[in-house]
Amino acid sequence: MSREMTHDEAFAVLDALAFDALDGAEREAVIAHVSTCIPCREELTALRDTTAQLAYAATPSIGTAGASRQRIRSRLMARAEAEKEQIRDRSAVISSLAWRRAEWVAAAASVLLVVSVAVLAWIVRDRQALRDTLSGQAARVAAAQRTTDSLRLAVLARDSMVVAITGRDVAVMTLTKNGVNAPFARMFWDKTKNTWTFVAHDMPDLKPGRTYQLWLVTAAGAKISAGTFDPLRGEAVVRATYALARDSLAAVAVTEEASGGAQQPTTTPIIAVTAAAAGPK
Amino acid sequence: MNPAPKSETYPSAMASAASSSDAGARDSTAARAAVDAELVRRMRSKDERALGTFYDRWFPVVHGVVSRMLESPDDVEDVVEEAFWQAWRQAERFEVERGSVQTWLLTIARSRALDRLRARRRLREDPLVDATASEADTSAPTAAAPSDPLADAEHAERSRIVRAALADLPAEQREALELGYFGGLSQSEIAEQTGQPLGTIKTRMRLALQKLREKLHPLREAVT
Repeated sequence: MSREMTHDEAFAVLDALAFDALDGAEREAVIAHVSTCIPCREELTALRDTTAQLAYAATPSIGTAGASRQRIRSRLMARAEAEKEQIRDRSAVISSLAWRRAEWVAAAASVLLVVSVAVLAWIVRDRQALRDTLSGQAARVAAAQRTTDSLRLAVLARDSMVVAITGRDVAVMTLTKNGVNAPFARMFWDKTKNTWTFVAHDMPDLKPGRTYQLWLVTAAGAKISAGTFDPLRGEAVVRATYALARDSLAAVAVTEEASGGAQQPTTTPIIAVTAAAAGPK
Repeated sequence: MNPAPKSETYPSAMASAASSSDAGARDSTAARAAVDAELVRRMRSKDERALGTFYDRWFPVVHGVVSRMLESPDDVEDVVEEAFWQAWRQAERFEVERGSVQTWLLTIARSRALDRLRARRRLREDPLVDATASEADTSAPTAAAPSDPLADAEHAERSRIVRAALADLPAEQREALELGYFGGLSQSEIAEQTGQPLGTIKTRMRLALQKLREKLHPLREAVT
């Protein structure tokens, strides 16, 4: 490592540096100083200009060394031409590579485009499928909800019916007919709430265009319709609300009528019970 | 031991030419510098014709200084070619703000010649190597190389002025300059070769250069 030079020390040997006549360590130290000192750099430039002119002290080869001059010139020009050729070749290779790369990029872009379109189509299809699945699921949920609601209503109806037939103030009447496998039914009259719950069993199948009609018969002989019903496999339940004085009921009967029911019974009762037969409740 | 450089005599009468034609020299120098700068600019763009013209303009000076420094014609041809080739390859590095084309080119040429000179000295110190084994065959007939008559005239005139300025120096100062510039010797080597103290050599070289700087100032190429 060379010692750092002061400005005066460096300035004093700039002439030797211009001659390239300094030894290693000193030369390095001066160059290091010059690289940071503008006055020294300017002085060195001027000294080098002067030194370079010493070349003219050698006799210029004017009109001499003709053969040598031509040989060197030919070699120089050939080297320059060869270098230019190399640059042209390199440019051509680079250009070719650039084209090849551009082709690859174009091909890759095309593949990417096709893949992107395919992926997009797949995504669209997938979204549609998901949407359909979601809609189906929603429909199933709605149906399940409806079923649940329906079951809840059925349970509520049954609960209501249980209340209607088991209340403290409910009169129970059994409607029968003589014979094996004869139909029979029970009427539950909640006198407090004025509700009538009729449950029938083993009712004969109806012919087309026919229905069963339930009648409340009063002591005064009036026949009040409590509704029509079509049994399923012989079973039926009819519920009605009608206010009737506690002692006004004379009988309960079921007749077969034309579909839609009748104003008054037109046929003989299939099953019936009188209030007297039912006994006080 | 370093060989003594080839010596030439300098007619002192030429020294007066420098001062009497200062104005003309400055004009000529500026025009020449502009031409050279333009050629280097074209070389930077890899214009081979510019290289040819540049070579034709500067061959006499470059060949002259290299011939003065080296003994072997083979070495001279190689170094001259390498100097111009380096200028061609490094034209883009040339910065006109940092010096003239003349200084740039002649510094390159001298540096390449010094490299060869020092390499030859190392070979001579090796007894197994016959340094004189290779010599160029300069007798091969070739076509005449183109030249630049105007540039040749300028070189000749400049050569006369520089040699006159050198002739005006005391002999011991001129000797120190010659050994340093053409012989490629360091100041220590010059002191050793001349048997003078190192300080004396430093002083001689500094004084010689100061005088030359004053005398050759009109020839310095303007940095444009």
